[in-house]
Amino acid sequence: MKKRYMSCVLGVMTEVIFACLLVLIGFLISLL
Amino acid sequence: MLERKVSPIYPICYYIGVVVIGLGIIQFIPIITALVYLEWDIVCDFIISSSVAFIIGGGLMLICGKYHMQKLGWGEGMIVAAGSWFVGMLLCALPYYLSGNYLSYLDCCFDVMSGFTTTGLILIQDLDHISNGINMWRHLLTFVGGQGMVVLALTFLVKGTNGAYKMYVGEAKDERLMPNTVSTARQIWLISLTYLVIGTMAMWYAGLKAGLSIDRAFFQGLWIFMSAWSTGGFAPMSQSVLYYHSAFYEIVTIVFFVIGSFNFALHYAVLSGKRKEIARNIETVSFTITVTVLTLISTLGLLKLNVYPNAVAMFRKGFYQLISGHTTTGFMTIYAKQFYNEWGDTALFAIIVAMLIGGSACSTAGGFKGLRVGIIFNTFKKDVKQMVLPESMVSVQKYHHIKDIILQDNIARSALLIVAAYIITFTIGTLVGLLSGVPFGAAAFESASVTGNVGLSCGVTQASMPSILKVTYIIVMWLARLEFMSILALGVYFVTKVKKKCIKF
Repeated sequence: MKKRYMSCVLGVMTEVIFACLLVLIGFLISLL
Repeated sequence: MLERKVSPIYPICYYIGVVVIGLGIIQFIPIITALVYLEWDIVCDFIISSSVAFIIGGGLMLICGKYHMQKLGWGEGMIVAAGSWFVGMLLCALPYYLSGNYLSYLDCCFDVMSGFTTTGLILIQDLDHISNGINMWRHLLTFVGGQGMVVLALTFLVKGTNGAYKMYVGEAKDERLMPNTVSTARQIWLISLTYLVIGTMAMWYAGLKAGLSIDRAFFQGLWIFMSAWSTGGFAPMSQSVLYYHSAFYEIVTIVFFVIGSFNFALHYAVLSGKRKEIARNIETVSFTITVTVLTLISTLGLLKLNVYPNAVAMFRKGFYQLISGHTTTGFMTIYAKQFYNEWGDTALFAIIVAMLIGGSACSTAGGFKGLRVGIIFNTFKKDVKQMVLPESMVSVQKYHHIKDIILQDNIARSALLIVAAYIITFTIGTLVGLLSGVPFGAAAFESASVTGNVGLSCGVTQASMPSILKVTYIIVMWLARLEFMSILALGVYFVTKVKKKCIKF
């Protein structure tokens, strides 16, 4: 149960980080 | 002794009845919201509307219940999906009509279909002053539509699995997260509800930071999250996300609508521990590439015209609209007319392409999907390799989507067929816009927004637009969201029935 919960939390963090990477790409291109 | 075959209309109507009952049950949520805010008129409106749904849904289940265990064929499963959406649209428009916020029942149906299909275009009057009950209903429709009404019914109301997969596929989903379709539907809802809790808390905090009161920040955060997750684009205020005048709010919405545009199979894989999938998956890879390329093109276009004075404005206006369009969300941080009046052809071109490409398959997003873009690109690669390599050599092209898949001709053909269908639909939408007197650029933009179930508008969609355009857009939203097959199956079924009746006469 604890393993599933941690897996879910880490999974959510992974997806949020990926989305933030796209935000960063957008900001870097805007710096043009 | 020969067994008497029962008409398939009975199990079709039975399952449509189940979905209608589900739509009646979820109306209790806006009823509770209206009670909290003492909106007695709205409470009455929803009691009437949910009663109608229970009577019609219950009636269909009672009349057709005897034959519902008959096996559903592929066509029948698709007809259940398409039929549920059509009947659902007519019934869910009733609270809108009773609220007095619409000029006609057609406008109500437009907004319902826009919600179900997670498009986000609106015809509601005076959005900034509507009741909280109606606002809850609008955003709930988009949340339910994003997951799928059939998925909702399979999760909570259907016990058996007779024809479940066929109905599930009818809503343009074909990913099996679990071996059993009902379990797959439940997993989709579990993922959505998990993010609903996390997302609402995050948006609530962002709303408080932006200066809203505690209750407004909570409800607006909930609604904005529901809209972001389902890549719907409905917002509680007419200025959309621009209303909040907060860079932090905008960034949080970007994070949630990007995540909301992911394939549910990807969510399931990542949340179950296969975190590397997010970097290997053909959809996330193609999405990253297309976002980067199209952001570059739109930024160059906007720079040429000096539309935005600095990098922050370019990010908050230029990039925000591009990624909102690409994920087919439709949140805006500029006014609708600014697209047409200020953006110029290059940036408009980039955003039209972004809207048509859309998000991931088996997600809440629209467009012809990143998966198909990736498949078509890999098909070209395979064909070019085949031309260059010696004839005796056989090249096998693979792509990664949860697992490694060999790219076969039938997969490539299916992808190309759906993309062609989207382009034809987009063309028809543009043509009807032109015939209604809309200038070409605006007609193409609005048609791309409708076809991709995006919701960005350049000002064409308003209550005063011709009825033929409203009807066209309703049909296009419906066709595009269900990816054509189930509605074509419904159409063919009715034409066949009518032909048989005519022959009998």
